[in-house]
Amino acid sequence: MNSHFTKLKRPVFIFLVWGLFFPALSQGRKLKAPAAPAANEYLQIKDIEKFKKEKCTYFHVWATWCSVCMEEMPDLIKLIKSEKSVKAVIVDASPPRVQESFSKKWMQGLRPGFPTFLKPAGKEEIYLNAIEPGWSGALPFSALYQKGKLLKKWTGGTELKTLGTQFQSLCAGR
Amino acid sequence: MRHAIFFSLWLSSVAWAVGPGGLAPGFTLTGPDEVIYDLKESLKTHAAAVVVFLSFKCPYSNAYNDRFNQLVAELKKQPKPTAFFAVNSNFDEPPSEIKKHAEERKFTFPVLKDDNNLVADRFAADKTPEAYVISAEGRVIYQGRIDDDTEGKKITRRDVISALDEFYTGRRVSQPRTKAFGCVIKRKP
Repeated sequence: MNSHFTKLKRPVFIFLVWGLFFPALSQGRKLKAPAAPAANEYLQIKDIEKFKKEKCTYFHVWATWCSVCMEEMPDLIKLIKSEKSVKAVIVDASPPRVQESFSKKWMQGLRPGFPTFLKPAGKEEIYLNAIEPGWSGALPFSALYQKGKLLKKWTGGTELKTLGTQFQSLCAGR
Repeated sequence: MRHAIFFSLWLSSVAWAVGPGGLAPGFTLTGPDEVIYDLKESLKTHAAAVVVFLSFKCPYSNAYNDRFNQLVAELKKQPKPTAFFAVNSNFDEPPSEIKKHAEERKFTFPVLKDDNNLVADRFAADKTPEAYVISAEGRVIYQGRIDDDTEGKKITRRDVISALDEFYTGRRVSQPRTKAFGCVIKRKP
């Protein structure tokens, strides 16, 4: 009887200890901010083709020195977050030293909630052509692709209302 | 017949982008020094011309400020007379500020204000900085970047000078078109 009680005591003790500490542990986890989805990954040339072939992909290339890009980005991110039918590929083409010193943090601060990308240093012309061969390099640049086919492209600021409509008409339900 | 009419109407409505091999459009602009600069007139006395679209608000263009002066100095050393035109087509960059910027940067050339971006439209130029090299016959022999490193630290190819070298030595321009990042030309709304 005594040994049976001893046998029972150990799991009860473990259970009690677990019961005491587990909530504290999980509480401790909760105290930390939820990890933001991966941001600021380098977008390699080989991945550009892969993204183009998805159901509906919106490419947007920007840089910090482009005032239009900076102004429209918060609203652009809000729009993208609300459009689940679109794969957004937002690429920061700022020079590497600017990416490190400013733009990575700036983008994270906007809490996009989806991965955003950085253009790796070098191979500028190959990179431009990989995204869209007809693009001169003027920033900001946007393009909508559907299963590898270019649907629309434009340089300069984006009319967000129009883009939302395009997302709906070109991407949703396809 | 009806098809021919439609085709000709379509042709007239298409805005042809100026690129290598194509004819460069002519333009006449007045400089800050009140001198009139005319591309076609200039090509009567020069073997080639370099037209650069630039901006003082665009960091990519500003990265070339010193190199613009170097380029102009090198054009003067070319085996044949070569003209240089710097054009600012941004509607939000007024002539007074362009002049001030040019003086601060000690530009050795006048920056020509392209009012209402007419020249940019004719060239279908969409960004700064971008260069066009034009032969005396008025053909574009090169369009694109000035060199292959915006920051100017690791330049391996100076595209405008290379195009002129090849052209002046009777060779075909090996890379008639190049691309680089730049700022979109802000046109009049």
